Amino acid sequence: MSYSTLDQIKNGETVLIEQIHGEQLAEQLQHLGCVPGVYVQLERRAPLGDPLIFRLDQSFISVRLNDAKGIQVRPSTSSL
Amino acid sequence: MSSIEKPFDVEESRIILVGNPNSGKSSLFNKITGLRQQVGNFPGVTVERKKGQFRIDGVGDIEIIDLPGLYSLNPISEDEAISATFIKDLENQETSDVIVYVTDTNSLRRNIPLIQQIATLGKPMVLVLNMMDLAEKNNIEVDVSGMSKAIGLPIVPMNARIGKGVDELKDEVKRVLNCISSGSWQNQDQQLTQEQTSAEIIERFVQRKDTARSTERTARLDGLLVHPIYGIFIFLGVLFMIFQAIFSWSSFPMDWIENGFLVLGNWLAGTLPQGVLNDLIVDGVIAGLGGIVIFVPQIALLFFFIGLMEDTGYLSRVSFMMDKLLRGFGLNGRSVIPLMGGAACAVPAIMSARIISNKRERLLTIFVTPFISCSARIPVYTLLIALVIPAEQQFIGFNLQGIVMMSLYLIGFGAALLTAFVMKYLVKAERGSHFTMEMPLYRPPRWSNIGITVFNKVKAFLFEAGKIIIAVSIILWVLSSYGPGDRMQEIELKYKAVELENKSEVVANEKLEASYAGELGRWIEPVIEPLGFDWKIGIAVITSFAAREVFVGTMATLYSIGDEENTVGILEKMRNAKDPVSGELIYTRATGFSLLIFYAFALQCMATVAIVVKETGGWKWPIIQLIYMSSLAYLSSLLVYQWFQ
Repeated sequence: MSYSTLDQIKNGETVLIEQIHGEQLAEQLQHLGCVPGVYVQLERRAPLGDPLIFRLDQSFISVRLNDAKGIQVRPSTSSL
Repeated sequence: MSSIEKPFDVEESRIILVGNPNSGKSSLFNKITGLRQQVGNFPGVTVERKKGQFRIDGVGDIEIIDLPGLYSLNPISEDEAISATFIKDLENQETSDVIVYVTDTNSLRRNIPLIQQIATLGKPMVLVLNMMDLAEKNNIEVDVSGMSKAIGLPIVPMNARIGKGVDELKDEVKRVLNCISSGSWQNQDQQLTQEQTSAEIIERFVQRKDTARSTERTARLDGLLVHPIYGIFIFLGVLFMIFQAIFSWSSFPMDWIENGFLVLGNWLAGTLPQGVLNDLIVDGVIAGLGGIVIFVPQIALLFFFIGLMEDTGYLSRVSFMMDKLLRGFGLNGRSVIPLMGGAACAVPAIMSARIISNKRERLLTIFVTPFISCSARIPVYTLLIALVIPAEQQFIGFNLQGIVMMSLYLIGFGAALLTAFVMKYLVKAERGSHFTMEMPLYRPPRWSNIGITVFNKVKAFLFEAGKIIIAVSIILWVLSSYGPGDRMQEIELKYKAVELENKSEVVANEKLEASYAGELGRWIEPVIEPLGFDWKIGIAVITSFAAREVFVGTMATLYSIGDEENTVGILEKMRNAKDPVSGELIYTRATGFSLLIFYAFALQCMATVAIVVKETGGWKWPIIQLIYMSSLAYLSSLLVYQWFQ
């Protein structure tokens, strides 16, 4: 089982959120329903490459590349 | 049930609307109160709590409060803090309050933690499952009665957009209030506050049969609208179209309004008894007001387009696309909302900066927002552009007036970015900057909501600006009709025996110069002369510190004094204005451009200063802002005038 961070995943890839580093970031993401244990899929990148849009359940959230570095994920075979 | 009900006292009861941003709370508030206020598809549109009246048949009107959307009782941003404090304080209130928690059914899962948090407070609560129509399209099915029993809360399914479920909510609230007043209310939501995870609740009562269609549609649209190349061009195209539309579509109604006011002024002048009051109303008030009403079509169009972008969900994508760019300037993707809103009016725009959680990014956004050309500048720009650029002049196939207008907006935007960039190094950062934001699903515009927004903004502009304009017009009329000592009588005597072709005009001009207003203009003239401004412009610069659009009203008043026939509009009068000594035209290209730049940069707005004091919690930043923007305006005008001279 290989661990990586959310900024490293490819377009269309679905991963499982393992851990979010940084209290403030974790709290902001929690408000949007993004907590350890949920699946997110990288939907697309902004025209300048950053931030990113993730699909999570039936909603879309936007996260900066730099913040994605603080989010530990596990690859997942299931899709949303 | 009815046997234990006792009619409750409406005076003592309140309904509190709570929920995530973008859950449709404000739509419900509109439907239920009929009160006109703003609703949007952008997280954080309601930044202040709003009050309204809620009629329950056979009982009376109850107060209903709409709180800004929040995600948690531990708030991150200012607007969330307002709601969280309010909710936590409910325990100490004497009134019997019912919390109505509104959630988008499609994102029920992430709402459960907040519902649990609020349930812990022990206040009566009703859960509204909003956007049921969208949930049905997404093939989401909710077992409403099963879930209601399990979590111990009354649940009302709703589609607030079309008002479906509103009557059921009224009945439910009435029932709960009756129970409270008869003492038979019991909190039954213990189940919810106990260790029950949101996943468990959701899995038991919410069924998803198929992939969600509206989610897929949003994903497809995003493929185009935030595409690396198309996305940028679409955004620029949208901006360009808005500016062309504001100029070409609005010219007809503007002509009608201008002519209408001329007719009205002449009719009043002939109908009212001659004398001081007649002069005051025709030359002061009507002339001043006419100069403002004429800009309603343009302002309405601008608000319409911003409202449309907000309501469909496109504005969030603009934030997303601009985040990286704006970050380089010490701002945030969310700064797009205040910055675009600033194109309408800086006051609500500065308030909307509350959605930015990072302190420095919020301060910088507040500091630079007044550089964005607001609707109050439209009257000033339009008048001055029309004065120095012929309407028929084209530039590579486009209307040159429109291009100059767009350039002024770009100059303002550029000044905002550069200022933020410099400030980034002067203001210390406090804590990490994050940008996490919901991208709402695209949805068709709710035309009635946009209509209400446009109506409210135009009304506010007319009434707020109108009040200032009438006051300033009257003061100005007095100042320009009377003078120190008996200079006025002396001028009358001097010309009494003289026969001149344009005698009334010459007398009026000399009187104006001798008046208190003339004194004021003369006093400031040495300072503004290097910018190409004469004393009449000086008077307008002083009066328009109250609000920029007062410039036009002041000019209208100043130039209508002495024009007894009142035959031509302000534009014609200014175009023909000549320096009495040299006989040269006053409004040359150099003076026109110098004035345009001055109004693009100067912080000529009392209301903005007041709101910055309030939002930054002191006088430090508004004073720095005022000095900085005034100096920049003065120096830029100086350069522009000397360049075009």
